Amino acid sequence: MVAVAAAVAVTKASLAALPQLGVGLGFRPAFAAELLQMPLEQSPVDFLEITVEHYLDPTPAKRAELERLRERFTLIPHGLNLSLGSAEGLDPAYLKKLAALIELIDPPWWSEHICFTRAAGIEIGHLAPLPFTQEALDVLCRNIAQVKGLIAQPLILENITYMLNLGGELSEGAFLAELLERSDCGLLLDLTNLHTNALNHGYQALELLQELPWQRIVQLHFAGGYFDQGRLIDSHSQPAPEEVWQLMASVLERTPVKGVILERDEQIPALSELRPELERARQLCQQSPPSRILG
Amino acid sequence: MALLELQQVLARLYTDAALLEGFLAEPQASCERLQVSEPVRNQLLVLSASELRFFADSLRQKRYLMVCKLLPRSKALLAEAFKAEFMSYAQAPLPQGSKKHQLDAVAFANYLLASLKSSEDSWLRDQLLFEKICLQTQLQERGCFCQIFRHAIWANSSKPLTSLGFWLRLPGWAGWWHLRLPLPGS
Repeated sequence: MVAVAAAVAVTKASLAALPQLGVGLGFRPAFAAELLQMPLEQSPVDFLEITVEHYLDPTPAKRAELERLRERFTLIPHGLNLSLGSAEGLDPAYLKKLAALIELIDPPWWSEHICFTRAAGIEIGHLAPLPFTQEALDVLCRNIAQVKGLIAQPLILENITYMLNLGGELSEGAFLAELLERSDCGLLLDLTNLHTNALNHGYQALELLQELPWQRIVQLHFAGGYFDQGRLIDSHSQPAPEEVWQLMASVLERTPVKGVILERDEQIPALSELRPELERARQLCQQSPPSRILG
Repeated sequence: MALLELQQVLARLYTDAALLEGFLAEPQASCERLQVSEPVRNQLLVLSASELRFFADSLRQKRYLMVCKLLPRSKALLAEAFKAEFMSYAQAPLPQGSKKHQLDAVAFANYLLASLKSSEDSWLRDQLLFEKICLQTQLQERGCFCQIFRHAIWANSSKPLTSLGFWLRLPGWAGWWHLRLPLPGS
């Protein structure tokens, strides 16, 4: 037990020692021209998050795009389809390509979702929720251990939105907390996903936050969605709502994070229109307590 | 073991609209037909029907939005009919792999092309063929495509203009070589 506790403490310290990247943007091709041509001192972003799947089997144009982005920005690979929660295990071909891409980029960390995206040869097409059970935790930890055996860079895990609650013997907060401790990973806390789930499933986002291991929060996501049939949809199509900003302030008041990413996937505006949101996030980050090494 | 079986059943329910409707209408009978074990049956029977349907619908909607981005000209031309046709087509499973959405769009273009009558919709046919070939050149690192178009497809105009489009990429080439050639009579 002493050895395990020491190992966990070492990892928390190494998470705290990750570089401070600042405020960034989920890269989409629509932003390419502005981001690549604008003088860096005028850029509203400090780093970019790239979607892994866009570069696993790249066309020459995508390969060239990746190179140009790497020359200008620190890139954080963000995976969608590793399917860490698949009970049938990981796709070895996908994992091999992913490991090669991450080795090429050599980022300070990379991220994936707490979900499954395929089963029985069926590609679900999006992030599907897991039940909050010990069995799901066992599957996740087994798959994450396999990934860590191939990829040296730290993996951080993202909470997803779920339309369908599969239940389980654990609360959502307890499930996330135990996963992070057992898998020894950092957390990519998606504030909009947290807000969306709280609203759609009737709980208080701040109460769930209290259950999470704060020292493991490495990065934040934020975005805005829309309502459909009384449910909030995490569409990444709107500016973030005020509730998400309040959650961001609550997190940043308590713990420094290493990076904050604005996501936009639909109704993508010019980069200049995103500046106010990026600037507001930057101001909140500056009010955060200084990063410290945790033991 | 229960999670493995649960995920296998859920993946089918999420992506097969007819199976989902059957399950929602007769959950017990559907579990028997699917030969679901008792622990998994107990998990399935307490799921919210509205949440299950909403999630499955959201998956089809997400797939649709991706195809809209990949076939923008055809979508503009078909307008509302594009979505209706897609929802009918989307009974077919989503292709696998990192280029699944491009493959999905190519398969949907083929689905639409198969429904066109030869003497009509020649402008839509041109648009579908053009967008399909453009997607295929993103999917393949080698190959050859040759297509006759009846309209000024390169200018995105329905004005009659017969031309030949030719795309070629041989092994070792960095990109596609492309030729457009007006044909006599245009």
